[in-house]
Amino acid sequence: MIQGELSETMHQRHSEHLKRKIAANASRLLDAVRQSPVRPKGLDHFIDVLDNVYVSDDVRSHLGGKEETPAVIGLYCMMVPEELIYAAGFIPLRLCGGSYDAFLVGGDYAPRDACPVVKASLGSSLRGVPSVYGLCDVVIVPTTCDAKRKAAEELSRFSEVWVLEMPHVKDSEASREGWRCQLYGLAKELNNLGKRKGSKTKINRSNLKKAMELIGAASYQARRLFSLRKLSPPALSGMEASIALSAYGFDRADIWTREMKSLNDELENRQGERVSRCLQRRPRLLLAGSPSIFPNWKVPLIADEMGADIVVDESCVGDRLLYDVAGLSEKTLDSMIEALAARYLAPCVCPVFTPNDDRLYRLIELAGEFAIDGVIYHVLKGCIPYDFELYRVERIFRERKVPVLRIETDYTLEDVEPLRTRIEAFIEMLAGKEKK
Amino acid sequence: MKLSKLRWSVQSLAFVVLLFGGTAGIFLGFFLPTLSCPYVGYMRGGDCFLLNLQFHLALGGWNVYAGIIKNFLIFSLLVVLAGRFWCGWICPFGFIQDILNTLRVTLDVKSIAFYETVKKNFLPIKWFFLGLSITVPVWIAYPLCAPCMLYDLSMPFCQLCPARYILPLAAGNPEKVSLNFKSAATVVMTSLGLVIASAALVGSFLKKRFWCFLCPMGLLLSLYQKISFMRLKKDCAKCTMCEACYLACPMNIGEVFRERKNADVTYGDCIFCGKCIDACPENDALGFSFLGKTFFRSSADAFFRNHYRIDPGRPAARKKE
Repeated sequence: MIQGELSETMHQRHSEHLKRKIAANASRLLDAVRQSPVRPKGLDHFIDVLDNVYVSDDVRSHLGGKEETPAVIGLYCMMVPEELIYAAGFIPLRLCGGSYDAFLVGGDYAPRDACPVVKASLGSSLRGVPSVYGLCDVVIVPTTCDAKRKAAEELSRFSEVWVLEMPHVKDSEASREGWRCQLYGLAKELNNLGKRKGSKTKINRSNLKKAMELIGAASYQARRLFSLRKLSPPALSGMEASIALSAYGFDRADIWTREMKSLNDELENRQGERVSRCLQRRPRLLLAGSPSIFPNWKVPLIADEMGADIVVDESCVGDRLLYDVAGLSEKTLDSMIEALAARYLAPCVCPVFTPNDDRLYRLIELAGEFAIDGVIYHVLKGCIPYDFELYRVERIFRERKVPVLRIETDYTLEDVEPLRTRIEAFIEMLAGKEKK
Repeated sequence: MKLSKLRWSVQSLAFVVLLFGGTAGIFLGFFLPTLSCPYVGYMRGGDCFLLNLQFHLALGGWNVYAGIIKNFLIFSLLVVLAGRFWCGWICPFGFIQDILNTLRVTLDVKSIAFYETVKKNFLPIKWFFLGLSITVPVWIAYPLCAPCMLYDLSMPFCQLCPARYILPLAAGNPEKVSLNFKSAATVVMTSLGLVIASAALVGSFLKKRFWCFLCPMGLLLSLYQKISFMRLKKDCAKCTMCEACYLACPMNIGEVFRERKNADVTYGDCIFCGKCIDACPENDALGFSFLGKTFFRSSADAFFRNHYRIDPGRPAARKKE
């Protein structure tokens, strides 16, 4: 029995309970953004998407009707090529969990030191809440960090799990070759799944090219948003950008791109009208380290409340998710898969890679490009890879005289007040520094 | 103008001039640093330096060698000016290889995997060809401590060179694609040459610029890499190491994406085809430079326009900001 120790009715009652709690927490955050007077209108669609996922629990309503919606595939981490999934005629959804309540549930099924992302994902899969977790026919987990890798095993109790073996050393011919083989294998599995589902779509040259253009277009819009945040003051707040990027994980890429284009157009026009979001210059922050997955917005919320702008992050659910793009220089099926393999491995700066100097160069570049005043280094408890790299990141920023604040926390709300005090002091220090 | 379109136009023009320029009275000289094959016949528009080098070395005599030095100086000047730009934009055999590659892409045939480690193994072959084309002719001219070499071997590399068979064929001269029965030596050499030529054709269909990995002319040109005026420049801060340039590079140069300090990423193998610039999704991360003046820089908008058919749109409105 999947539900483990609980009887059917108990399981259902627990699920209902969890659903209510997640909905309450998520709607609190979404309402806060909705009520903001300077919120761009283009953001509404993305708020609705997250609302459909976490509050009204009805993803199908924006993915398309039940009949016409193709099968859905759940993804963990950002190394699974969505292009292959779209080419095979499926829709990818991103399942890395950020819910506090699901984290509590999952805590019973994972070791104490496992990270909250894994616990929340396990909890949500166990209870099937939000319902996207139950919706996925297959879940694909790349072998990134230890927690994710072992969680893949646990997740296989609830749904079919495909493990994508990912090399941890990027720049070697052996790992490139191995990773390519994995993607060929994935393409084959996707074709087989399609056959099982009774669909005739197979990954071929034309539909892969179309899928790559689909994601390329999304990438282009994400990059536009990225550069709009370089402005001073940024064209939209960190939270608003985060809503738009989080919604990508649960939306169809074509719809998301369309909505993103109108959001970007709106923001650009707004710049033309010189309508500023705020009167005085607020310190500009780079949010580094572990991902802040919706609805775990503890750190970004506090930073915003305390008067700083998070203008860029380096997380796999935020600015890094769509920034990179595959070099589509030759359009044969094999070179497209090769290009995808390179795109999802080479520029990725997830700390599971060793050596990972790329990440340091990327952070330096971001700090310069976005005129960063300070860095908040967010470590989720149990996220060893990010914590390990703290010293190197601190060193490069010390050389550049950019202050770094390390924050270690998980999804609990108990430490919000102490965190608030620390972040407030940090931001005040940054603001004071600027005045001098 | 789009870099790749410009390159195709220059290549086709060079192809026509070098193969048929003679009919319009064009002759560019005996010192061209490119495989412009004299075997094409009287309608050719210029001569490959390697052929003349071998031919004159085999004649011997100081007057002849003085002529070689003169030609060599002009050759060097041309190479210092443009480096292996000659290979990527002018070489008619390179053009044929590029056409074969386009054919492969159209037919959706998988390219053969070609690793950097494999690439290194080809270096001795290039040196062997170059050594052959210098030592054997000198040996013929001055048979010092060895038995006389046959005069039929006076142009050893030319008889092995695939361009000697394929370019005349492309110019409508099929009788050059045959065994030369003049002597045993020529029979052996031309049959080897035909084998190499067919291997080069098949190879360059399956692998971008296959022959360029074996070409002694390319090797000769790459020796000028340090002093040549043509450079490939990189802004290391902008690079995300996405390997797009590495995948696009016909010469499989991985050092370009790996470079983290130097702005100069010109390597001996680089033929300045500009594929890396075209494939780079970052603004100003890669670009050509000539005597310090940069041109053809990579741009994100151009990347999305060329590869993803996305129109950046409203450039005027966006510039105002």
